[in-house]
Amino acid sequence: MDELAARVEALLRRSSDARATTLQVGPLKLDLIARSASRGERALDLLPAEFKLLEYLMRHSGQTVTRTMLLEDVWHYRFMPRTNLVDVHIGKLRRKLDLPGDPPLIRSVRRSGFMLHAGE
Amino acid sequence: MRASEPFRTATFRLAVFFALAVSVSTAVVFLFIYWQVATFDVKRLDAILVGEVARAVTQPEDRLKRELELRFTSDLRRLDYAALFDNTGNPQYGNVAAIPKDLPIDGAAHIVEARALRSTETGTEPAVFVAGRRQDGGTVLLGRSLYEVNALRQVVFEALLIGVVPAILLALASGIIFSLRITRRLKTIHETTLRIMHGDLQERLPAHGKMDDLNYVARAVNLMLDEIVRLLQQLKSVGDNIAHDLRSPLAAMRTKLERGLAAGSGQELRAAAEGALGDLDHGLATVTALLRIAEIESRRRRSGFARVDLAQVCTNVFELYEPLAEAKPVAFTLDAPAPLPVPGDFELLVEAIANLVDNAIKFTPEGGAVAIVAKTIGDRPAVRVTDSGPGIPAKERNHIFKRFYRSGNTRHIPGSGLGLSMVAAIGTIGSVGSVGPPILPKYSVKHLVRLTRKNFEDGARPVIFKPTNTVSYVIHDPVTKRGAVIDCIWNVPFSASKIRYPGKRSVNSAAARIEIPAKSD
Repeated sequence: MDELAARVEALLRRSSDARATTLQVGPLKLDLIARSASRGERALDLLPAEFKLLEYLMRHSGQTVTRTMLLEDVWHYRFMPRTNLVDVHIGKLRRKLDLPGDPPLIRSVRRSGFMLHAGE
Repeated sequence: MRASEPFRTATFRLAVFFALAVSVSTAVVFLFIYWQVATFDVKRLDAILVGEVARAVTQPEDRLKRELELRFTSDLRRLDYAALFDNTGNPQYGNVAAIPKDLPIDGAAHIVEARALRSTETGTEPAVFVAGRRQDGGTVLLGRSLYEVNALRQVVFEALLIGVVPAILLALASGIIFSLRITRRLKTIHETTLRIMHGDLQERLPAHGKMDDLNYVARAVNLMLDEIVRLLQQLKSVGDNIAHDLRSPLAAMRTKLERGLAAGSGQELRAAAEGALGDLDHGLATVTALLRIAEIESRRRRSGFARVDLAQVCTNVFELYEPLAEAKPVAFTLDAPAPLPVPGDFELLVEAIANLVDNAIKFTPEGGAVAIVAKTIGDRPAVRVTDSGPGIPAKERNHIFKRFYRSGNTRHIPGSGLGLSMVAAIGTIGSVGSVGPPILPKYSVKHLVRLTRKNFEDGARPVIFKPTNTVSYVIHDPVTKRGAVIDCIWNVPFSASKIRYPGKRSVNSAAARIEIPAKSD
């Protein structure tokens, strides 16, 4: 079943992204096959859930992504927890992406969601 | 009721059908007996007569005459024919005037029409005749009237008619009686249904008396009506609640905007608009949650139950909520050692358990513990969500499933009051109250003591299992009643979650992070 899901996902990706196996937004690089991520020279150690979240943000870089979108598309959950669940996940990811001194990559969009932008 | 109605019911048609079937089978049996009686008697006569003729043709004439004479004297009912003819066919002795023209003289039995012998009869009647040629050229003729056989046939035939006709009439009569009874009951049911259709939802079909098929159906319909009434009431209260719950954010929004407009400066207006947007979000979230509950309820009614692994469901939920627990911080553990297949709907189960975990983490104070256990408890697959939070006071327990209900002592924590109604919409509420012992009912006290001692050595406090609050949800196939239990246990002493359960085979990523994260985070 996982195999099937992975294949379908791969097919979908192929149709939209012209068979891209790597994603790049600014200094961020994501290798979808090796499941590895890096910011500039620094490799990022991401959990599977965090990898999926980052991948989604990179595919929608420059767009505002709402909490509901993230829950539905990244975790495939269709309910609205009233806790700051998504914020916590984003917070964890942020801490891994940005070391002190780095310009922050994920920006909070007030009242609606988040946006990944390339900086510069 | 029209007069013709009893004749159109299924019962009546059934009675007619049975009457016909009984009549046909009776007739077949009678016909068989009739046929047997007729042929057997004739065959017996044939055999006797053929034997007697064969003997008579060889006997001397005077002796034969004596025997024939004897035969006449013993034949009181005047049924026997006997005669002796000479070689020219003239009668020499006996009660037959001439050899019948169509009777071959061959010693075999033939049925011919003969003049009746009895004085009361004048016409002819069928008789069995056997004629045999003697050596001297004469002819011996013996016969017997079939009058008796025919009379027997007549009796059997009449018995058939007399027997079958009342049987049919009886079957029809009982059919009418039964169908009248059924029609009367159906009429009551019909009238009741009409009353219900016209809005009297408190009306119920009569289902008392013994449990026959009609009562069985009536009872099922009554249960259905109860459910419909419940749903209608729920719908009504939901409508009221939506209006009520949307009123306060809308009012707050209006005040903020008004104030912003009155202030005049763009800065303040902007701040007011942002505040209003927040209130609007709150309202929107409420509406979304309500719509979701409605969707779940309709889906639960039509969804087919597939095999779902409860352990996988719990793992998904655990992964989603782990960072949240870490951030609070609350110790968060998952114990799902083996696959736990149950009939269910994966997404809905995730939603149900996620809601419980959401609540558990939300209401458990910092430094507390939340645990998910997914294993077979008793003989049922079960999920237990345990927390060390404040629990729910006994008097509030029956209200927690109502939409928008917020417990008095947690009103300061943000929430819609819809989470548990969503869980209740997904599962059926099995029981509310204290059910114990909570996590490991199969372990003996000794075992628990050993476990706690081990924890004690680890520096943890001894565990006392005394959950004060539990709720069980039963997630099952509504018809077969097969399914799983989801327990939610609150207010479990803190160190309960530190137990390492024996028999834990697969430890997933979660188990390694049992410790409470440092609060400085």
